[in-house]
Amino acid sequence: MSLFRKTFRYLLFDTYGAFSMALLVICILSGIILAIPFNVSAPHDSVIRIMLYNPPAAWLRNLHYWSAQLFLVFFILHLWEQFSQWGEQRVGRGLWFVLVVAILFVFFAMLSGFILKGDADSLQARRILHELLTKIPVAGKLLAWFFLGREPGFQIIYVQHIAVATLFLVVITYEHAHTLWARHDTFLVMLLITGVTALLFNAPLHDPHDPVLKGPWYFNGLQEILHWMSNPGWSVLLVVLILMLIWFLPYLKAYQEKYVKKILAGSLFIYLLLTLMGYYFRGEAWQWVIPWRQQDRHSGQVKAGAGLARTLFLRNDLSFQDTLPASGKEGCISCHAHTQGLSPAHDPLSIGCSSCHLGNPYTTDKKDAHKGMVLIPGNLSEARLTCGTTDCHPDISDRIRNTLMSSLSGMIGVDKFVFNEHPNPDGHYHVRDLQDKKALSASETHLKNLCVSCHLGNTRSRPEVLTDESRGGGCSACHLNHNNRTLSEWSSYLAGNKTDTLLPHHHPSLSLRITNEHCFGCHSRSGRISPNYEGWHETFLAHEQIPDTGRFRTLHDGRVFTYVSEDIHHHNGMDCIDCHTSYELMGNGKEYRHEERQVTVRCEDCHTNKTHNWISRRDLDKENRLIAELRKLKADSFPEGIVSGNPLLNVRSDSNKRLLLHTKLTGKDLPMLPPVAACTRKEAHQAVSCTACHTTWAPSCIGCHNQWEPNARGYDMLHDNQPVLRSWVEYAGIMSAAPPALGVSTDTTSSGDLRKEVLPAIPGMILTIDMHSFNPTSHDSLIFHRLFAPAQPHTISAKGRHCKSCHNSPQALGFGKGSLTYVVSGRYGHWKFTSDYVTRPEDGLPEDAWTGFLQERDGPVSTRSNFRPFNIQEQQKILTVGACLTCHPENSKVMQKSLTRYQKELSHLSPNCILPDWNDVRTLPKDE
Amino acid sequence: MDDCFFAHSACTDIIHFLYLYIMSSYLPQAGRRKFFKVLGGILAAPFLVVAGMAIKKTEQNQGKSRIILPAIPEGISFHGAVITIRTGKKVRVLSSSCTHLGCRIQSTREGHLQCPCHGSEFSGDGSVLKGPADRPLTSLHYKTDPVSGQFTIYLNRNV
Ligand code: FES
Repeated sequence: MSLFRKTFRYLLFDTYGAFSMALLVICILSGIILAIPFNVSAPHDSVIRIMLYNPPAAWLRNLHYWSAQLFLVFFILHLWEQFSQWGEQRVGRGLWFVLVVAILFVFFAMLSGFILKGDADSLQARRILHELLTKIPVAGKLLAWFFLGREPGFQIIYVQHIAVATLFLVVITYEHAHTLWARHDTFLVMLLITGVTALLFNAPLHDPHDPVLKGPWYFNGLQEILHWMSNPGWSVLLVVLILMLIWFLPYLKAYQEKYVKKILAGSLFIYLLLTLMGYYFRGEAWQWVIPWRQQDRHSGQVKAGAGLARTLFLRNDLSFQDTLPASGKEGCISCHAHTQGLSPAHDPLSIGCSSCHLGNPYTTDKKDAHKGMVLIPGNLSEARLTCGTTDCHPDISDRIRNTLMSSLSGMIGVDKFVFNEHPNPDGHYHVRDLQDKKALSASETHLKNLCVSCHLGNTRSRPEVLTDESRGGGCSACHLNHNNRTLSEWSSYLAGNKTDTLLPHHHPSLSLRITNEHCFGCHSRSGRISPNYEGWHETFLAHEQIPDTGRFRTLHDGRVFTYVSEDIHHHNGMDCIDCHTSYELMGNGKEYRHEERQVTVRCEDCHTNKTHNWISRRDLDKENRLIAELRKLKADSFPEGIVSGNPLLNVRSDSNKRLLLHTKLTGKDLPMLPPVAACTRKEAHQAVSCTACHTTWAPSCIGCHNQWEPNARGYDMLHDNQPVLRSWVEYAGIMSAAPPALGVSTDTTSSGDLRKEVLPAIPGMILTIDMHSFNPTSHDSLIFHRLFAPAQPHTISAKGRHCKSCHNSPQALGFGKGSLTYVVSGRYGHWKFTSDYVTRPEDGLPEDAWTGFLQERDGPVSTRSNFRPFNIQEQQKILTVGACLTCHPENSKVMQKSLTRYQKELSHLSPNCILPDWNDVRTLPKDE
Repeated sequence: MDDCFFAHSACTDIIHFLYLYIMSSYLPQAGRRKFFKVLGGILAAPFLVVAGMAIKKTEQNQGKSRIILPAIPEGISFHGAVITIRTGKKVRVLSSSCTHLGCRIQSTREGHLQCPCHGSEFSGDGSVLKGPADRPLTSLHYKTDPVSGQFTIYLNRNV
């Protein structure tokens, strides 16, 4: 303790007053020289130029800054010192008043200096000060103008900063000087301290890509106070009150004075606390942050500066003056000149490097410049500061967090439902909430081990080639394209110890070239729409078992696919993005629970007999207009999708007024064929969706079993796919490709009507979960589910299913594989079904069935709450037509006529026609 | 009162001053000091007026009172001193100056306008969602050119 005191006393070899005096002199002198490189008509630019290309001036700027900050600290200590020694009693009353006003001017001089650097912090601080000054009654406006002038000019603040405020301070100091002047050694020591600090630490400048905006540190407390007060007038009053209190001190009696000083000390202490709070614990938009947390690490300011010493004295290995770009505002370009591969919108010469990769653009020192750099700016964890900054794509970076591709709400919701952790599949979730969670439930662990690597928020940590396994990466997941050159440059750079001679000069491109391969990594699982679309069906074969027929394909992850048949749109050269719009893929800001809600495109948008509405280019929303521009579309107007209303940017009309779809990547013109008559006959198939008929096949997987295994190796997909021991393991059952079952989705329209739609259905989960393996005390021991999911398998063919493939097919009707026969005996007919599969003990239904033959099911039936198999009445209706089809071919006159007037046809049957008698006991299913 | 008037009065003042200065040399010492005080007073007034004029002119040449935008995109967009919000055919123009302390609002968070300085939040129609601000953002008057479709926004005219 005594040692501490001794050193402390040793450090205080002069008074606080003398220290502040010395600092003020240093500050003013450095300021005078700094006025030469500083350009008041472009303050921000000139500060950047000073920091980048003028190291001596940068040092002076730092010196100016640090001496000013230290001056403020010692100035306050000096006041304190004086109060405790009753110093206010020793000066004349007149001078005391002037000194009190000087406090205001000290802060004004400091703040105007802060404003003069002209960055985002400064501009806002100026607006606030302006507003506060105008709050002063009567003379407010005039004062605001007198001290700050008007935006955007800096002339008046500059004049005030260098002339009035400084002059005033000099006068005050001069008054002081009768009694107090800094000794030479005090001056020298202060110069040494500030000089070294100026070498090591840069004066702050707002990081242009950081949304955190803060005033100077000594006003962070005030900012905090202002945050809590709706009427800022109070804070003005508070400041005036404190100054008045100080002014009145000499007029008070000794005991009163002591009391007031206590109040002042208390307020100073509180203010200090508020300052610390504001400085460390407030982030973007003055929200609370925890400074040591990774995602809150941004302070809004570029601070590093140790490199200045290196550049001033040691010289770097590069002489950056030679590479100094004429208009460069970033130090990065001095090494990374001539970087190629980016489109004009992302050209580093116009937007710089740091707008995406962060780091410190205001230095040419490699170490400093690379501090806080981001290698993959597209990762959603960084996107708000990189791709999503206010000047670039802020709306997208906001809304993309809500899309299903980021939230996985549907996947999580269904999984929780299946694990009996939620009563329905419609809960709302976000995968990032699981990432932060400590104790995970059974389903959450299941998701962690097996499912959640496919989301946009999954971070990439190094440059990657696009493969059929690529996942995550945020914006880069879709918009980044490496080519051979970028990849070879990158890999040799990373392998070669990152030597500067290997510095990559080719940047992967950022564009709207979003190929099917970009989607494949994630969409080749579960519903498997990506491989389906290209015609591939997953098998359980191993690579070694593949016969050499060319009809097999092995993915990077070892899964083997066999060729079935491709989607007609794929056959014609269409890519995913030819149908799916930016709002579907990046979201429209709303949070959806299931994919079919987020996807708006419908077959009828293009394949229609109706006439399209056209929207002029001028009326397009910002995003579509930009897309039209980037895709170099010439048209002045675009048709709108009939159902979705989306502008169809890639559709145009030819000279015969025929609409053509122009594929975005392959550049083919495709006719948009209208539906055939059968599709649009309202009476018969009104509720049947296009895909219910036109889907050729869908993958289905049944009989899978899930078990938690303490010795199994798995993954922690919530945290960078770390391998873990102990994992859920999935044992798959049977996989097949066949025309899908059909189910009924019900919805209430906005007008309150019930709307039915028949959609393809695939076995979402016919599975068992061994809950006791995970938690021996769980009250479910074995969970069994038989749930189908509505699907859009993306295996469309031009020709629809033929009538019998639905009306007479047990699989289409949801009974599963087997034989469905119409038995006629005498005048009675009835349907008979024998399943190929044995029944499951849990529910008495065949393994692959969705519903029982002419039965209905209770309890959960699908992975949606509004999707179900055909009910008995619907099954009967379908099978009645099926009975007709057993004799009449589907093209026969009578069957064709029945499409438009079914009831009428039924009313005059020939005597040979025997329809099933649904009331007869023999038609009722027998209990087997 | 026009500029000419001031110029004229300033000239007359100077002539008076010269005249009085010559006359004053005949006055005794004490009277002379008082005389100069009065004279200073008389002279200061027109000087202040001329200074005021000079400042006003500078101001007039600097200040911007309207902003012209070629088009207003769908949704919320920021154009310096103004924020435009378009929903279909409906357009609303707000001043971007936060009603709390005048910070410029230039970003949104979850569809709300957000002030970076003390955390106020406003909805798309400018009303306050979260303090400290307690007044809605100012709606600004604008005009659309029927031919070019161009928008002229008047910064000093509220709706
Ligand atoms: S200025 Fe907007 S919240 Fe204070």
